[in-house]
Amino acid sequence: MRRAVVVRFALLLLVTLFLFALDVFKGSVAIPLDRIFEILTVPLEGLQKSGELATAYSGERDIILLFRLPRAVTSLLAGMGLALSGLFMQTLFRNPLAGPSVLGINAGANLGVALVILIWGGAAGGFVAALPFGMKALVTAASVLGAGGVLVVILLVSRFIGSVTLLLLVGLMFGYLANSLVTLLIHFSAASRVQSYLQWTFGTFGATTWDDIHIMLPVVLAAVVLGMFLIKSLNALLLGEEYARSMGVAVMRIRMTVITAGALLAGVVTAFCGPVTFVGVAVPHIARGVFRTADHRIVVPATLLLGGAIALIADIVSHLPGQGGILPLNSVTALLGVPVVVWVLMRNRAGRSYI
Amino acid sequence: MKSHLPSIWIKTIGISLLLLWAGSGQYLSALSVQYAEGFSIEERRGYTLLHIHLPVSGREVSSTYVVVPRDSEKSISEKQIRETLSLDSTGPKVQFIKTPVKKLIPLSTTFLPPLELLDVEHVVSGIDKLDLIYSEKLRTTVVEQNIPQVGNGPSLDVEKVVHLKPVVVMANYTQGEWNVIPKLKKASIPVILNGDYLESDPLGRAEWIKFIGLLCGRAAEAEKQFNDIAEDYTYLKEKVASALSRDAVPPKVVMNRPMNGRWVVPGGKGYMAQFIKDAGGEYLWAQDSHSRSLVLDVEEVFLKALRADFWLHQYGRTSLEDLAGEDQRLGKLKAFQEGNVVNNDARMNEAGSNDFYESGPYRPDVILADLISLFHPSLLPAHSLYYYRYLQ
Repeated sequence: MRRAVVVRFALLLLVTLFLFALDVFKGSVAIPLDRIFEILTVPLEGLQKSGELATAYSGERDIILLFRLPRAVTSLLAGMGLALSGLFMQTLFRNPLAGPSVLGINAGANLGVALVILIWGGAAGGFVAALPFGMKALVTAASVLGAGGVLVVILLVSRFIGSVTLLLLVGLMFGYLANSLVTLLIHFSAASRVQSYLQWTFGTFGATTWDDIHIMLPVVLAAVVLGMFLIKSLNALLLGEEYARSMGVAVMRIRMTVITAGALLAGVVTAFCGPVTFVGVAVPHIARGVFRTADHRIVVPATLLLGGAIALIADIVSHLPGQGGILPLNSVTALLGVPVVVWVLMRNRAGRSYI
Repeated sequence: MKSHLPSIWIKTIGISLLLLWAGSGQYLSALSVQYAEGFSIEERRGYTLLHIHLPVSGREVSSTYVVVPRDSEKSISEKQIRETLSLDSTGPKVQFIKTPVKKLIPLSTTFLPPLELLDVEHVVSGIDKLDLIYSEKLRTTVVEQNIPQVGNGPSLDVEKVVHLKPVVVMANYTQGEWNVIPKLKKASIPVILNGDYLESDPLGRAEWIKFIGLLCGRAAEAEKQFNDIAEDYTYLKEKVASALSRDAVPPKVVMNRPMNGRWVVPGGKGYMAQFIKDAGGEYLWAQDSHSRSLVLDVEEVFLKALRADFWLHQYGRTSLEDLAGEDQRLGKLKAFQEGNVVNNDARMNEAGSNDFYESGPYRPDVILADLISLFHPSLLPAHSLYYYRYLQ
């Protein structure tokens, strides 16, 4: 690998680590730095504190360990997952506009979640809570199935429609279909359930607990590992299916694998964080722009790191103190991200040729 | 500054004289509004002026209605009233309403309890949605008399409403009815805004029974019922104030639960904050100066909530297990560990309609008694919780 690439990766890694630390150190409650280091390094049993001090300390300890750390980990995982899912879509459809939110995949996940929250939520609370992983596993499964369902339909249609643009249009139509079903569901649902559904659609990295991360982490990691194995085939696909076939790539199998991985990523992230827009479409473009290549050997890790970093920035900005509460995540990701993408695309006027 | 003082004095004296004159003269009012800020009543000879002034999405929406009793011995023609009012400067916005109103469509279930309390629920000629009603009696009436459901907000069926020919449609502006209000006006169906939910004082909210009473020809009864409730409320409030010694530590109270990383809590000058204060509790955001809700970051509230003694309103959660299953961090709260998690859903039906939000606004005395018996059980040993229940 060229030295410039290594330097860029090293810088990116450092920035991501720094952002992760910043996300843990800064929050609505001001906690001094040395206190945070103490919380992170000293186990609870080793502490010599009592009375008031112990109560105050344990509160801060809970905030760092039970609120900020899971939030930062979730941001990182969600950003990586969405960005990688977007990259998969863009390569698979050979279209720069592809991404979970454009192809109706988010809308499918959305429909799955809406079905669970609006129809079962509350009423069958006892039944769902009795399930091994509780309500959240059900929501996750519904979200992944919804995302995968839309993807499979799009792929089936793609056998009959040659044009990629037409395929995107079909995806868009399925998105509208899913969204209108969601609107219908809302119309017929009780207000309390609609409220918890609408809350979810705002998007946030801050709703997860360690229990949720136990579901999220393995799924994202599995998809990332799968992505690493797919690098060679993805590069071949970039040059067209005919070419890939001539290179000995089992196109249909790769397609199904890429779709499964993409749906898993988009589905699991959407279930826990709500429909987070923009990251999926934008990050792969930034990755290609920064490293000036479309080679997946570089773009896959770059997309992962950049996705994590951008999600962390969005989370930090949405939690900046002194604004009375927290900003909606989706508006932050787009507000911050759009200028960056436009700048990257302008700088690399040849950017189109990467895809 | 000094030079302004005399003019203030003159104004004050002038206003006092005016009030004295009004109090002694022909404008003596049987219906007075003491707590509510969203409406006022001006009684005149043969008719009544009803003023509504509500802060809706940052601006004040105000309107005046001329309420004319159908068979008053001091009967006065609409033309005469118009002539008098033009002198009184009221603009073209004035609408005439003949009372008692015979056909009313209330677009929110919170308008139903006062109709029931005043025994005039027969005027309801359409409702928004049966599922939203808690009252068993009203549900039966709706089903037996086949009262049509017209929906609300964006899904309000305007044609149905027009077809029902109501005399008045009552709306509360929160559901997005502003789209349809002009349409209904064109069909000459007056839409009256009911702003009970905007009052930040519990008694102010309950006082809107007078508004309904005036429209339904039951003004005196409404006045009487409200006075009874206000008297009860004040008695309870004073009982708490005198029973608690000055250095007693009131129980700390936190409300609601986190959702998606946010924790929405009522503002310190709002409806629930007032209840908690009157019941001898210390609301954790009592110092806040908003009457609207605050959207806060979950960690900020969590840190404060850790040491709260009571935890109220777990909207949509039915048990402690359910609550901790959603977010196990909540189990760390002192109120959770001591079993002091209390919900306002003791009276909620299968469809999810909660009587706390239906009849509750008109029975602040009962809500207050519930809260007092939670915070200071020794003060009301005989009281059993009505709207509230401990989560198990």
